[in-house]
Amino acid sequence: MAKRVTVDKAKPGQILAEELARHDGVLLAKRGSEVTEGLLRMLRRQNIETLVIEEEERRTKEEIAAEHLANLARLDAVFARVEGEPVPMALKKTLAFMSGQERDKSLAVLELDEETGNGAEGGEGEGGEEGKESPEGGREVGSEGSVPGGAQGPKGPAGPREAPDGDKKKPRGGKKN
Amino acid sequence: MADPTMVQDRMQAKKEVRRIKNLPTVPGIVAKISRIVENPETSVNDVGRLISQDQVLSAKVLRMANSAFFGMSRKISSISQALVILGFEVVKGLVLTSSVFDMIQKSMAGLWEHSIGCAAASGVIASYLGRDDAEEVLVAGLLHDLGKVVLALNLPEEMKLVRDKVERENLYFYEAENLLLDFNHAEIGEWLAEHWNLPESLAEPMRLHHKPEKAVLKPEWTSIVHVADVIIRAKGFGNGGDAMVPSVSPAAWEILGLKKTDFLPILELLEPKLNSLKDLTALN
Ligand SMILES: [Fe+2]
Ligand SMILES: [Fe+2]
Repeated sequence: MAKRVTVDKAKPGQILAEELARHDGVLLAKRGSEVTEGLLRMLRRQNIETLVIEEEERRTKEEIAAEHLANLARLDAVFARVEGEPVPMALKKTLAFMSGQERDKSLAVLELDEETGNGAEGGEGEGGEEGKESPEGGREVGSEGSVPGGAQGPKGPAGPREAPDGDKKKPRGGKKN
Repeated sequence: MADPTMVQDRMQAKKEVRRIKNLPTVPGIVAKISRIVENPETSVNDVGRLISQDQVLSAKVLRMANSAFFGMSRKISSISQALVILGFEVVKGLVLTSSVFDMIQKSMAGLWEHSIGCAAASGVIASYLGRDDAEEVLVAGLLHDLGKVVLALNLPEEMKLVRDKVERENLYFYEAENLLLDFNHAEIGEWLAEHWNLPESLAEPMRLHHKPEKAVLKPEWTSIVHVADVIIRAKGFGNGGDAMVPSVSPAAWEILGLKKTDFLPILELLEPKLNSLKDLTALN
């Protein structure tokens, strides 16, 4: 998470979430670099009033875990109508993976089906299966139990049941990371 | 099926759409720009001057030009500069968007965020695919649901019925529209685009973002906006009037040559943009 703060509120040691440029466009500091006293002085001199920093992690582990579960429940609810369609399911898995990553990098695993390959993320050891997180109890949230009257969908696309990238045999390296 | 009294005659609806004319300056400035551009003598500075006359509008345009949308390393400080750097069509799209900003905000809570989110996602997908027209595709994403604005402002009762039905039956917005009104925001968008003389390359994604396989002029643009629309709902950023994630058109997916593993890098590029775009949520 990033937030915009005034130069007065910024503190050395914080990380820039966006690069800083002078009003005439000259780059002052790259994204990801650390805020220093010197940089803040320079910003004041250049009349640059705000900067965007990475927000410090103030949430507890429990809060992050709870948020992750809430994310998974939301995903279950909003993907209810495309359950089983390969492309939307890949999107859902990817979002679940990114949410899990925030909770614990070493547990988050992205597994897309065989032809899209690995995604065996960062986990050194850990046997990361747990990260797949079949959403415990996520179901009850949101979808009100009803997969909406599938029958009446007027002319909406019935859904890409055949995977467009259909042929199962290109074991792709998965270009990730 | 729909209550017959609710079923609107298409021609009637078309007439209703024409009433957009009476709404704020929208077509005014955009029409003026198009007019002076037809004159071969017109220079970038002339266009810049015309837009700059409206200071509130230019300020909005510059904010968008300098936002995470385009990730410019240099600050764009004037409309003329924006015209040079982003190109005429993009600036015109930003002018259009800025002048309908209030309308979008008023029409439906969350629609503005849905629109800028879809724009950002469109831009990200286009650059990820290595396209050099990412800025223009982004504008197409920005405008894709403009038909909903017209529906909300010109046919408020129908809008309410649609929203209730979406809510009650967990439908997609366009499904509820089709059932109740026999037309949907994509078609309204088409009429609007025609009425405003928007280029066909922008009109097509407005018309076909829910059936991108029908696009003929710029199928890639429409496909990108389609996928971006799916992604941004899945992210839960903003609200286009319905929460459910729809299918991805296999044709669009194929046209773009995307793979399932592409979602991760795309979403990783999108995330920081969405965070900084929160700045744009109040554009006044
Ligand atoms: Fe739409
Ligand atoms: Fe949309």
